[in-house]
Amino acid sequence: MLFGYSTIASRDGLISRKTMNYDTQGTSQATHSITARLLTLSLVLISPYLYAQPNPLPAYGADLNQSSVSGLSSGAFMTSQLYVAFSELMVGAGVIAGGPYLCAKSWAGNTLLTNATTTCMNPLTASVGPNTPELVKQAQKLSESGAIAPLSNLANDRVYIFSGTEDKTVTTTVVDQTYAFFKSVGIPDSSIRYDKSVNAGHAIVVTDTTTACPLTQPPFINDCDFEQSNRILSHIYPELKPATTQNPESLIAFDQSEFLTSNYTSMSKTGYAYIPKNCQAGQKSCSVHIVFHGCQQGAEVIGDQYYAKTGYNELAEANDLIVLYPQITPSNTIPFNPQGCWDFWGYSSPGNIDPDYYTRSAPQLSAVYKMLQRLATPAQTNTVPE
Amino acid sequence: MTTAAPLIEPKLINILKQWRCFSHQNAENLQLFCSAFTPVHDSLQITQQVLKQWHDKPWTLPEQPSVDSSALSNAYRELIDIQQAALEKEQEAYFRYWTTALTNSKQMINALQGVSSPQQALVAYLEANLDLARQYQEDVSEQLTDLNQIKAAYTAWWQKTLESLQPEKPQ
Repeated sequence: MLFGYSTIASRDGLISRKTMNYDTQGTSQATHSITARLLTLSLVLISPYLYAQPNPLPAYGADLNQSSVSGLSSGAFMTSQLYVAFSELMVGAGVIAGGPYLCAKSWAGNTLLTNATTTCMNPLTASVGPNTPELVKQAQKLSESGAIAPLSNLANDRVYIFSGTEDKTVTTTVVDQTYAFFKSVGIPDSSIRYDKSVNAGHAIVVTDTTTACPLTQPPFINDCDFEQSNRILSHIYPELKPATTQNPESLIAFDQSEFLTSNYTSMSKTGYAYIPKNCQAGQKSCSVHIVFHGCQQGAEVIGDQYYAKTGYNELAEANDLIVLYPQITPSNTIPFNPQGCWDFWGYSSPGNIDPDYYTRSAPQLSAVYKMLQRLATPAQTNTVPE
Repeated sequence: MTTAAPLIEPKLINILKQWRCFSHQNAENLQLFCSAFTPVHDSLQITQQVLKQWHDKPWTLPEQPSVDSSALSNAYRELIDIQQAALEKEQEAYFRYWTTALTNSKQMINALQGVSSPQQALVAYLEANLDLARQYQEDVSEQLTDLNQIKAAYTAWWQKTLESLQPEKPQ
């Protein structure tokens, strides 16, 4: 909070100096002085709320070559997008209730939005679900053109996929195609863990919450007696150590806006990250795991429930893993994103009939990539990467 | 000492507030619906996507002798599946509307029993109707989702069928 506090301190200093001037003008102005002091006090008390501005994301000299990503629902679609587009950095991914990469491009006769909300979530029959052979072809073309990283990078990776049997929002029919897509682009079957046996609703699974496992209701964090973050990370990083206590001071808020090049990303002003103690000290070059929340799950909607209470931070502390939690905010106008979802159908390029939401230069993906670059910058350097 | 009965029943004020809130929410939803409705953009997007797809893999109506019979029977089977699923969705929707109407009628009859003043009758009537309006709104929303699903399925089936019926090009 150094940046924000310095701004607040300078404003308070200005007000204090003015108050002292009042005091030097004699007792007849005592009333004015008291009023001014009260005004100063009230401003000091409310100024953190008026002027609070998140810090820039600090540099920690992170090792990006062992990065990974996971997410739920729209965050799972975003996971596939980031994972495939920047596969040269990735060693694995965790997809909870999400469809395959480019899913909204399945059927040319439907709009991207229609495909996203039907084909990619709950298709009428399995035969009109995600068109995986076509999606693989399109991904290969993008890879050949350099719009995304070579698909061959994925061959050595490890992927976790999950679909709850009670999930009627993104059905198992769709998630099956995520599994098919990853196999088609060269990830060996032995490296994919596909779990579709749990009677979970549409949610991320934790061990300690009030929402029962089969339900689908806000905040979409369900109790199914296991910690899904643990399953994801232990699959991607087989040597993972058991979770330890998270350190509240390691959880930081940062300014996302400096990474945005478009006004239509629907990304919040504030993002969050968990930086374990050993990674803060600069003694160790830590790997990074990115976590994407689902629709109606951003911090502005459900507070810290996703970025502080889904079990990632406890594992991060034990394993010296930086966890990055980029955030989306709902938007009812332009861009049209009333549920606060990650973009997997093109809302972040309003008016464009062929929107880019899936390549390395897509508005949201490039913003997250810049955050990663910042984390990888050697400590003590804070410049926005080009 | 007895307290005078209020001129307006507190429950009536409460239910009127709820109606106002419901109307406000509906206005917001309508605004969101209008924002999502972009017919020109959608038409252009579909045209562009279809042309691109056609450029990569030209679709033509197949000539009779060259039709692959297994592809044709597969397409026919998938169409039957879609029609069955669509029919089930429509039946579910009618069942939902019927249940809503029935439940509300019972609720209305029960609510009006034991009413001792015109204001209480009005409260009971407004409460029952608010429940009905909310339930119908949910039903309509669900049916719109179903219709969108059905439309998307037929479109996808059409593309899939055209592609599957194209004769294999020699390598």
